[in-house]
Amino acid sequence: MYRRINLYKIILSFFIFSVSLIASDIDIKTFGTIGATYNDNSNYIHRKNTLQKSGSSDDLYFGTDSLVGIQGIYKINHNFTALLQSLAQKDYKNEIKVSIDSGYLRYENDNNLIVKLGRMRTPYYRNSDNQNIGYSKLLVREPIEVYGQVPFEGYDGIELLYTDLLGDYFYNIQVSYGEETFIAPIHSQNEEVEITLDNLYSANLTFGTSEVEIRATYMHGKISANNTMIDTIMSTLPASLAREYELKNKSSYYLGFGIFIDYNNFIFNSEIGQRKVPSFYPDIKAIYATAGYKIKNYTPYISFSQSKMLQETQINTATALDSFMAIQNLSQSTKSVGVKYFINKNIDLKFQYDHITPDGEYGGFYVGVKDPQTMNVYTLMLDFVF
Amino acid sequence: MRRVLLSFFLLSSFLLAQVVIVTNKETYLDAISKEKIKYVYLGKVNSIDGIKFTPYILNDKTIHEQFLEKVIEKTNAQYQSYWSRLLFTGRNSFLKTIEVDMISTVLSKPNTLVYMDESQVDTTKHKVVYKVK
Repeated sequence: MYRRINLYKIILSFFIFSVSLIASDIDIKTFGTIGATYNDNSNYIHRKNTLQKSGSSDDLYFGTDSLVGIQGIYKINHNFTALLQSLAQKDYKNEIKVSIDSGYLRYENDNNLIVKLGRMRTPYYRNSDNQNIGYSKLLVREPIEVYGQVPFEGYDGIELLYTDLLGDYFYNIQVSYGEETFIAPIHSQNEEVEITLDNLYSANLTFGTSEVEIRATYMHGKISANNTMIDTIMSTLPASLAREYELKNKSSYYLGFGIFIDYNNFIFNSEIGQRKVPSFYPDIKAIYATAGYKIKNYTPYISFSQSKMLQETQINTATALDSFMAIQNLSQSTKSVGVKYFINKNIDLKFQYDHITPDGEYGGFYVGVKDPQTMNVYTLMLDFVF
Repeated sequence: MRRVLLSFFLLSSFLLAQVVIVTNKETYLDAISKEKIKYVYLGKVNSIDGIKFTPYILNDKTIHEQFLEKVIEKTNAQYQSYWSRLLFTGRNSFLKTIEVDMISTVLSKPNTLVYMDESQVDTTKHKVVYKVK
């Protein structure tokens, strides 16, 4: 199915070869999450992201956030290391799948420059890199309104990261280039879409102090979607409509900004972003704001997030496109309250309550109903790193 | 009586512990600001003024927690959580932890950074670049 030789496979081969030579120089770490989620509305399936198939629907579900991962870092010499990170979690077919999440060769010089080559996580969001490392995050999961705008999480390519000081401030410039192919499910239609992204490049700038950081990010890609059902719908449209709504080699972008404060015991994180994909995959903007306060090993927090469509999903073309566009509405908002408890340097425990309000017909990120209804979601999870 | 005196001595040591950040005597920097030390220990940068520093964690609970509280301004749990993000994203490796009796060995290498009790500084080998206020 995939037409490319993934770079991470080269890195993987190199990594295994290296490890077999000098096993003692490899640093192995494990991480994971055991989570239980309950959503009180049986008309919706609550999921972690749009790639996940199953979730809680008026029942207790353990597959939403639960995962286990292993990471190996092999130090080749003073400048070079190789990293391989593998994950086991439920995939879009609801099967437990072991995958290579990251696998790259890393070069670091003595002047704050890092170059990575291989398979990496896409860097649009503040916590893109560590979305699966629950222990490193405050919330049980990042707000789907913002983090769900761009559904793919990795790419094959090259990344450059340069950090330095500007007086008493630090800055961090990250640029990347690569490509990606992945499967995006359309759960309501029981369809799978093969998405390819070419000419994928991004630039991120982070600036600030150890207490306050601001971040700007821009990512561009040429996106194509391959699916028989979608192609059939497009083939029945007038040429002008088909050109407007088809997703074939369309130049697309994501633009985001964030501010992050960690001052004394006070934490505040906020990101705002917008995606533009000129096609049936409509434009959207979203924001979240999270505030927490550290009290010894406890960090209680509150969060609000909201997504709004920038493109009309209720259209009237008297074609099959109308009903297909109607289910693309991702507008919703979430109010959350929770607490993170650091048990020790390896384990934490979190509880979070979410009140989710879909907005508009077929609104929201969850497989649901035409007329929006609210959901109350309760999550208890344990994160670990060893 | 001995126990009372010993307890008093230990308590005094704890209360009087003065944390300093120390580097190799040959390092050309004479002082490093608190903010820059934070940047190194938070993995924001790996070099200061053109020098790539190798920071170490000291396996001494009292000194370590004072260092985190006064310089890094995080609890041990918060610091661990912070570093797990860097570690599992391949941004940085975990900082190496050393025992107190290894300080002089580590500081014999150029451009190393470690924190310690000021009373244990050997001025013939170590250079204090920051004193915790």
